[in-house]
Amino acid sequence: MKSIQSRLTTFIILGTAVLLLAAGLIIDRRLSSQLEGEFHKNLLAKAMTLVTLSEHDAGEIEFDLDEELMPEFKRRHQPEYFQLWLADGEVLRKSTSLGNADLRRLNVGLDEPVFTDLNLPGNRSGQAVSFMFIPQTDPDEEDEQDVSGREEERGELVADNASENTIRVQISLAQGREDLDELLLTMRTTLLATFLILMIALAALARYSVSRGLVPLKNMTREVAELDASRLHMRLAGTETEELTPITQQLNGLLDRLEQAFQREKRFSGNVAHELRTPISELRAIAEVGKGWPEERDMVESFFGDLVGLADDMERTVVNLLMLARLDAGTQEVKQEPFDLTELVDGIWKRFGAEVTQREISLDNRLKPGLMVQSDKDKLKLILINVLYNAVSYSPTNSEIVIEANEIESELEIAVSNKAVNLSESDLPMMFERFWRKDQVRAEGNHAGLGLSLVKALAEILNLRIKALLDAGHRFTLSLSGLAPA
Amino acid sequence: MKVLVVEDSQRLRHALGEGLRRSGFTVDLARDGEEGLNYVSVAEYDVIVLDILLPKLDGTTLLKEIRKSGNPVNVLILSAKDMVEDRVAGLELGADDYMVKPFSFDELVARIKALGRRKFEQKTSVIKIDQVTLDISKRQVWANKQLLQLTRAEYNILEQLVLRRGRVLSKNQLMEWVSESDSVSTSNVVEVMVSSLRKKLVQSNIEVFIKTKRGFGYYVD
Repeated sequence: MKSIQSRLTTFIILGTAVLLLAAGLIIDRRLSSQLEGEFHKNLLAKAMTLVTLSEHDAGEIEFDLDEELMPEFKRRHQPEYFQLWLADGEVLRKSTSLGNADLRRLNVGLDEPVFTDLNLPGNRSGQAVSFMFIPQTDPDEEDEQDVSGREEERGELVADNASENTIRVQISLAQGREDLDELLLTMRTTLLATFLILMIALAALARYSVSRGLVPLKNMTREVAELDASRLHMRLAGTETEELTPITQQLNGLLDRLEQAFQREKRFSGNVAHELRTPISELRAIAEVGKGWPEERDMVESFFGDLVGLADDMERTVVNLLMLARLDAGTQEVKQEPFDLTELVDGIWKRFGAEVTQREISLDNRLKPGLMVQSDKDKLKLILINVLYNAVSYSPTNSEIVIEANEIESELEIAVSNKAVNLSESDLPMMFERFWRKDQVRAEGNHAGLGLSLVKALAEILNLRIKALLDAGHRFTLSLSGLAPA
Repeated sequence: MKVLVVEDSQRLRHALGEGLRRSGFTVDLARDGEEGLNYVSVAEYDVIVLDILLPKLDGTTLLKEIRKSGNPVNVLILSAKDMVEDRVAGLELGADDYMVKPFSFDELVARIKALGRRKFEQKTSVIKIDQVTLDISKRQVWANKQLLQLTRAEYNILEQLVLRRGRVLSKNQLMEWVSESDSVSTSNVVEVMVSSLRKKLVQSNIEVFIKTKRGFGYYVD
């Protein structure tokens, strides 16, 4: 895995290394050419000194060098070398240090020094300067020639006037370049050492500052690591770091949404658990009382009706919950088929049995016999069960529930209405929420408050419009429109 | 011992009514808070078993009303709310006990009996007066170490007289303690039961235990 720290550090170190190397190379180039230039200047100056020692005296070239005074030409250790030739190639003089060897004679012009690298005896590397010159005339005869001034002028003049007796001499002077090389080496080692020290220091500095710079990120990582399902209320503390602020905000936004979803889920399962407590306590009380007095036949028999009702309630709660979960997950398919709606309603009503008889609630089914519709039968059945169950729950004792159908523009509208004394206008928008219920709904039987939220969800996937109305006479009407007749 | 059960679930009410009656209690059943308040205002109870989530008038409001009227009746809250704060809230409102649904019926009976005893500041369930011993939890009466065979109503009358010993109880009061509010009975019933009780006591050589205060009612010293 790539880390920002190592990437940044590597980038900084490599980048700086390249820059420093380039700078080092430039310095090296400049300094070594400067030093070479200096070396050439010294070489030439020494060659010029030798030139001044040669004289043209009455057709003879004299070279007046006392090697005792210039011991560098005869010493054994790192000697210097020179050789003089006449124009025809005859060796005029060479330094003792050369012994039997010769310096290589180059083809050079007059007063045009040529510098060459060469191998010196004893396997030394060295540099040589070589040029032609015209030796000066003996100073005693200088008057005759009426020449004065600088050497070059004089040389030129000599060359011009003395066209018939021009004597040219070539000189080569060679020195070992040990000192120069040593200087260059020192310079390069210094540069390299400086480079290495700088690079080490820089690496440490880069690591330190990058890791310092990444501290807010590490803090954030630690904060995020502390988050889990039980601590969704926690939020990341905002940092002073500009780059991290959007991330923090996004993460906190995500946490907000997660916490809400989690709370909703928790509330939902809490509600489910709570709703199950009531049927379980009923079941337990019935079972324990029955077990305590099994010989009381009348009592025990009276419990059976309760148990059937209890099973119905729990079954309805579970079916509703499962259906809601499937609708939430979007895994419910709609199967369209024609079926008899009137028959369906009658069949549902029969199952309400005991409770409606006890409370004297009746159904006025005003649907005409054999009313065929086109829809998903199972889902419409679940809708009608819940709508009718809701109507029964709200209805006061001794009242009537009415179900009727109206045809509006080739669409059917089914309306279920019942008396609902304690319902108020402000309850209508809330009644389709999960687990909502008006308290008196529980007056008889159990009502998990799931029914109408399921009705709403089912109506949505069947493309039915749902409407709740409460008239002045406290008659509540729930209507479903958009049903297709078959 | 007379118990009022205020519970909105018809099935639970039914089972509790049957079970508590067979456990020897005189039981009234109310389906919502308003009905419960009506019962409390006309009859005296030893224990009220009260649900919290009730239609019309919720349990906590009913409890407040009861305490506001200075009624010291023992109240046991029976609720599906199981959080500690719910229990604390219930007890702070003046409830004497709290049970969470689902509950064990036997435990409910035991707690109702314990609450009934508390009303008479009776720490133990066995009361001994002279040669008569009353075991409230077992609902048994021993006279001169002999177990008396009593009907439910006879026992209930004797229990009330013993628990409120030194107080004269009228025939009407006794009748109310032993009969459920929706049943019909006359004060003659009390006379018949008292004389039957006395006969059974005499058989165990207890001559005068239940005394008559002429024109007022009966009492036990």
